[in-house]
Amino acid sequence: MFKTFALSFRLRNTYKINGIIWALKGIPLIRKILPSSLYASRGLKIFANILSGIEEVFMAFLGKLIYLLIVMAAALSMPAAPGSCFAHILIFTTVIGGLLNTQIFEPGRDKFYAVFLMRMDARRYVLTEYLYFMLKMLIGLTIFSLIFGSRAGAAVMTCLAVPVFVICVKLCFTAYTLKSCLKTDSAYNENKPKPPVWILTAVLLALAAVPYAGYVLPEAALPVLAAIMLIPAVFSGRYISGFSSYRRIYKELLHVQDFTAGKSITGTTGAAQQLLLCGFFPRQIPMSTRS
Amino acid sequence: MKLILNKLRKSFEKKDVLCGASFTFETGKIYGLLGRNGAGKTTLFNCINEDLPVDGGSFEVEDEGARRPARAEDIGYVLSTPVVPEFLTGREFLKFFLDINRDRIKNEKSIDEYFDIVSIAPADRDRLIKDYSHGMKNKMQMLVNFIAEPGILLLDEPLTSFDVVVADEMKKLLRNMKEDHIIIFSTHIMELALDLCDEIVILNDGVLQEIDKANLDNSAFKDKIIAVLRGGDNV
Repeated sequence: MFKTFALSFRLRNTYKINGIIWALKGIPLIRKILPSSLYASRGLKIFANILSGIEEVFMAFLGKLIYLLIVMAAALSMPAAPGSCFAHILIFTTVIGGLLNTQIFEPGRDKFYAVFLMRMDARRYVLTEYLYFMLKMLIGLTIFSLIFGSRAGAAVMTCLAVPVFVICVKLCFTAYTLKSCLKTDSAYNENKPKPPVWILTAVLLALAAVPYAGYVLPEAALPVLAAIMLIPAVFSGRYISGFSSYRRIYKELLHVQDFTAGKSITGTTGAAQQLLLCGFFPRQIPMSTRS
Repeated sequence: MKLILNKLRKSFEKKDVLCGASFTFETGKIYGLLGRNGAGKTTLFNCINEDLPVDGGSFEVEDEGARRPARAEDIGYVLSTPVVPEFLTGREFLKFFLDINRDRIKNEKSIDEYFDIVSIAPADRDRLIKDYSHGMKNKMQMLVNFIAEPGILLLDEPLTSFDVVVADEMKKLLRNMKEDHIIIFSTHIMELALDLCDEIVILNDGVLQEIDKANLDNSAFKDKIIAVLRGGDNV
């Protein structure tokens, strides 16, 4: 598993760095300064891998920090007990995160390169990346829920229940979605959710804001829900690790035309488009704030 | 090994492209899949590679007497429009490919030796694949499929963008490979099919049929193929 993770990490960094060099070389003045031999520079790639590792850690924590800071600020602005509001908001935003941020159903160049071009074993790749994603979630949420949750007046038990609840919800949603993909023979793209998902998200957001009207779930609801979710989460985890059709799902999710050159991600042009095209902007910031 | 296609059906809206195509492909031969434009050759390959779901029928692999569904590692697909990682250099692509597939590669060579096989110049090996010509991208795509050595190799008009010398080298490689592989080569260039392939299979009106050369000379064989494609002959 570690070898798979190391390879996919290096692969992702390599095409990211190459993409940055390529995009920079698209700028007329800089093109003359940067030689094409930079692509072959082993020193540059090692340096870039180190920087990328630091960036990975930083971005993983940054997302959780921003997310929980916002939740804390919202809880403190509500008329009810802040600790209860903190827990209340997180219950509903965690469900939203289960719908919209599972990592497995996010199409990306890295997945396409690894599974289809490099012929990496799809199951091993998916599980490795998913485990890494969950580990970042666990560590980041634990640290910042203790920091910001306590400032919002939530009990330590509540703060420690946050990462458990989040992980359990994500596992359950992932397993359910995988099963559903097999049944419907189609892949769920979390970047293009269907209208019912958007409606449900809006409803959940509204429910998260209900404390402004004076109604709030008791703080103990969060640790209780976390405990209840443990059992289905264990079964979901087993289902996810035993699932054998990841490649088939990715065939539906990852289309060749989305990852070949010339495909514009946005309507922008020039260097900005090129930077977006090569995946320069870390994809994890907006996702992790939704936990 | 055998690849057994059983009554494959595939339609796009109202158009029936594959209408119960059945055939058994065997190891040790290069099959030339001939058909007119729009006959469904690429669709057939996409179905076998599971890029498209079939509407009916099935296909499986017979390996050492036992039948089973085809696995991803059984199939290599060389597309007419090459699909390669644009933001890696040629060397990086091969390095990652070798690192990832090392367990499955027999007689591993060095990266530069692999580049020599497809005649990619040293100056191009550390260039971004995005800056490669169409022919060079095609070479890289072909190369990784040679390295991976899948049991079934599907080639969708792969030689059209190669220069004469490289096309000849690719043909030699394919002839060397065929002993342990099933190679299915789709083309609409009959001379290429006749030159390279051991068996000619026509895809016409959504079904597959083998054209037996029997005792015909090349000219008569060509006439027979054209007649079948025109629909004026049933073999």
